[in-house]
Amino acid sequence: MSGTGPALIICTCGGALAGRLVFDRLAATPGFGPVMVTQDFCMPEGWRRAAVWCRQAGADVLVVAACGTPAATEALGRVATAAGLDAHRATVVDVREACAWVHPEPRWATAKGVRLIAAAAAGLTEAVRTPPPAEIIPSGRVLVVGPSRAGLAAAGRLRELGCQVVVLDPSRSDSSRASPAGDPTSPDSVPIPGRLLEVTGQAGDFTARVETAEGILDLRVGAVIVAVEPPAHVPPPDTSSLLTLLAMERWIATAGTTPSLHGKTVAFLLEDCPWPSATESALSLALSLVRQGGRSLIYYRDLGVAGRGLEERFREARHAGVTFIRMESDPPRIGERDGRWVVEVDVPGLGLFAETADVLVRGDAARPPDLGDLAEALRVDLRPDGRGPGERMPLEPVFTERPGVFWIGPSRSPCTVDQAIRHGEAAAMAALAAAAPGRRAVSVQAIVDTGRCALCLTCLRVCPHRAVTIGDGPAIEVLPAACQGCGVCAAACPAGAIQMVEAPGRRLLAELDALLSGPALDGDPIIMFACANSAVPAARTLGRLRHAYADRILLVSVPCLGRIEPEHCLRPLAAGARRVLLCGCYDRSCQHLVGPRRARMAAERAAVVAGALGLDGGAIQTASVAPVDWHRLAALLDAVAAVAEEGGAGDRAARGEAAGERAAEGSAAGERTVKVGTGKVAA
Amino acid sequence: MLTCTALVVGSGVAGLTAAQALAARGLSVMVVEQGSVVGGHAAGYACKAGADCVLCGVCLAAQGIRSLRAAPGPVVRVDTSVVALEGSPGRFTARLVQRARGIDVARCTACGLCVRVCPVGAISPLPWAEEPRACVLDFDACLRASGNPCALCREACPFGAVRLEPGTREDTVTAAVVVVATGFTPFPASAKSRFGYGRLPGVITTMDLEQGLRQQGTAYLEHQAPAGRRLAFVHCVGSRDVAAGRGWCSQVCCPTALRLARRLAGDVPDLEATLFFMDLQRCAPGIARLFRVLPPEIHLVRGLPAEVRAGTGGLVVTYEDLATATRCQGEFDVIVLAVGMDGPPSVGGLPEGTGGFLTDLPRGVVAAGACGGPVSIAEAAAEGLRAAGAALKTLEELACPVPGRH
Repeated sequence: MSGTGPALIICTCGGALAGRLVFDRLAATPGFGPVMVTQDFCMPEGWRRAAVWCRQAGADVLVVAACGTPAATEALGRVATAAGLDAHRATVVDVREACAWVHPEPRWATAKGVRLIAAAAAGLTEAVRTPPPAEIIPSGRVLVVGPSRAGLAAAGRLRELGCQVVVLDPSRSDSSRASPAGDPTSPDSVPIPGRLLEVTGQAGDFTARVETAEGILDLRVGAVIVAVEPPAHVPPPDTSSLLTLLAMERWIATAGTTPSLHGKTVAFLLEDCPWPSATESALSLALSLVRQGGRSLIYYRDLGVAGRGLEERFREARHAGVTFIRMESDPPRIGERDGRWVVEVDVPGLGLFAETADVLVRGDAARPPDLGDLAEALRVDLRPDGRGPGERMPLEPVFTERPGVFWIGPSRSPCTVDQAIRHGEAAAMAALAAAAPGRRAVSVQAIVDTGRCALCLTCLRVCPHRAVTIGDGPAIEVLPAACQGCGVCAAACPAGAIQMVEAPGRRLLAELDALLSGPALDGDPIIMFACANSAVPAARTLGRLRHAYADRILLVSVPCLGRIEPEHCLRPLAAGARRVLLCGCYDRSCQHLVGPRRARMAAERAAVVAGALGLDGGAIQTASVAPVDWHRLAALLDAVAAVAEEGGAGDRAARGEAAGERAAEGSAAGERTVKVGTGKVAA
Repeated sequence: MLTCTALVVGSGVAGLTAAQALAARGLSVMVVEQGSVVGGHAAGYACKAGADCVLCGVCLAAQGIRSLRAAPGPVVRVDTSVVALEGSPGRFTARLVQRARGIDVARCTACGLCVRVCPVGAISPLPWAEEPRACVLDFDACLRASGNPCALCREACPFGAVRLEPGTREDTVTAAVVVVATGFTPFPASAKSRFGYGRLPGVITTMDLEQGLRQQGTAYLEHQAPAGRRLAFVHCVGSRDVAAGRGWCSQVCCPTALRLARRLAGDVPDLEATLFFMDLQRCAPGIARLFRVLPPEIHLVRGLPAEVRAGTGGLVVTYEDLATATRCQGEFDVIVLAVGMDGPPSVGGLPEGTGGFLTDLPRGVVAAGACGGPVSIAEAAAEGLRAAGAALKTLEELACPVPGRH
């Protein structure tokens, strides 16, 4: 630190903020050295001037009080580069959307602005010096597990793009037949029978251990695409009269023609398979049977036609003479008479409707093979129905929670042929981004203090991105290419040995301390920890709409709610804050997967400790909001402010009221799920 | 004459994803957007989460827009249409027409000073738009259209961002490959006159409801029918309907109707929603579970309504309940038509297949997202990746120096 103290640049937005903020008071924020007031920070002329000033002022910490637009952040980056400042020692404080535009009274808007500026300075002073970026050289090779349609589409596209591909065929891994082309490392080899045992390392630089006929080998790959298919049981031809769709498809594919089905009646039972993939194969089988002079009956409840061209094929099949029988509640009754099947259903308006068939084909909804071992090898969670990976918005439709690992095809969701190929090609592009060779600098986001580290391995367990490994020493290492900077490890580390480069635990505490003192607000402060992916954009929209909320709500932006520790909730309460609100994504929309769950756990633990300390544990609250849903945030902020207004004894009653109004619907739901979440964890 | 390696037409989820994927590979990418804001249809939709996210994907649009500024990123041009596209792989030429926006995107900070001084309210601050954060001047509403020399906005703007000359500017851009991501057109609900859209108050479409919820919250419903608590969703309006010339399934309407109904049932007390459907399409991620565990306020009726007319106590819907094969009538306050997807607005003479969706595009031109057929938002993002890969493949095949590459 130079002796000048942090530098402050205040942007008046071309004078648009005049009368909304008292700039003199912002400039007098304690702790700052040189101060510059400008009116066009985000314009080229403005940031150039700011950069010159910054260099002259000799500051190594810079706070810019401006707006919450991407333009301001971009300008800050340029100033930092031009003035030779460490980018992590400079920040923008949004005094436009977060103060001037939401607090009509300039006095309160300014008071909040001063606190936010002081907090930013305190945080930057605590900031860790950025280590030089690490470098990785991705391997340039991609491993595709499963030579399914999706897998082969991915492999084909990758080869077209000049990528080396190894295709592994786990369904033949136990076959005794020797593989025709045994070298998995040769660029254009055919699928190798083999099994994936383990994947270690990080996106771009994985080591995949595979078991093939030749033995166990380690492959260096940049990305992994999982595209396994159900195992191929080819039924005994001719004799079987009870099949599944998949079995029948495979049978016809192997046999070429089906002479035994000429002139026969085949009934397809799709009542439990409303998936387009089931419709697709039933339609094509039924059509070909009808064209060979047979008869096809398709029983269904909801016909899945949500795939390209399916509705058209459905009409074609109807015109060609395929019989479609829609049934309501009861499953079809199936009996046998004279060696034929009798299918009886209750059709509304027609009553009981019986048909005889020679062959019954059941839809099997493309049941996946057992994926447990594969998921374990990749350390990817499966869904309750055994498919993988979990249904979460940021992962659909080709990603998994592990960067560099992709999952496509019927083992993820029942998909049509067209969709499988499209997903394959999409995954190929995503894999290329992870695996393309060439030096890549990855910025280090978490730093482990080996002196403090007790090797308890908590970080290894909690990291949602599997970015923590045990390196030489032994010592904890955070893999830069895998780390997403959520900070969950830093929050969970009992020894406080992990520091995040951006807003770590200690830095957050420093920010909080600064935020909790300063010019008086219109009442005791309310601290709102806001996830940068959801609550912060929503709050910014409130600003743009000039939608006013309580002056004493102070917003603390965090990259993920998962890094909030109980201490962060307690510190404000001890310093006189009225309420603490943790507002972030929903469970299924969190990019870091565990953010909301961890926030609820932190809030719950803090509430228990608060009780012991004589603080109001009920003042800590969690809530979810989407980045686009400013209405919920506005309702939530109003409800929180109203509860705080009631104060002390009236707290509980008011909260009940607010919930009754459904204004705090999101938060109420959040609180409900707290119990479920922790219950699971405890179990 | 402008030059880029890849030209992306349309800035919806598919277009943005493709543009970012290509830019990340070190190509120079230009995105051309016809509208005034980036993000396509999805950028105007509402969040449908209840207690947890229901995977509607609207956040993906917001996320794509936010990451636009990441370096190296594509160049984005708004208010610009492609009027002609010709050439061959490696050397396509597109003629662009850029409408005057009245306000320079590069110099506007959305501070709102011009909005405040305009005497006729001709300037919109577009508070919903993430990108670009710049106001728009409506030249038709502007006083200068009637010969008044008013220039209050220009005087008020501290950054000299106001450009009061209306009109259009033409440009050409050459590109080695073209990604077309022009999205879809919502089915014009008024074409099905028996449902009364545009004629009966209280009849809206899912598009209206999405945008209304986004902008006004549940208050939008009050505007449609004060104290209206009985909702009906009509599926397959402009889908699976050969008579209407739409013989395809739009794939997204069943999940959208259910998600909207759930969101409203959770947020509005005493609301009852009835979904009239033909076949429930529940293959979208997370949707099978939602249909399995329906809240008590949501009812499913198999059977599409025959007509909607105004009654004394609300809107009367006549339908055949296929579960019992009986003719029924129901009374509702708001009817939401789940409109299907039509093909995209036409672009510079590209071939169109059924319904206006793009098929059989010339080599070097790749379709991404809903312009090739109905897709959900998450699928559109995957489509963007796929198209980027296909475009890269064309560049590989060209094996000749490509302008703007490396």
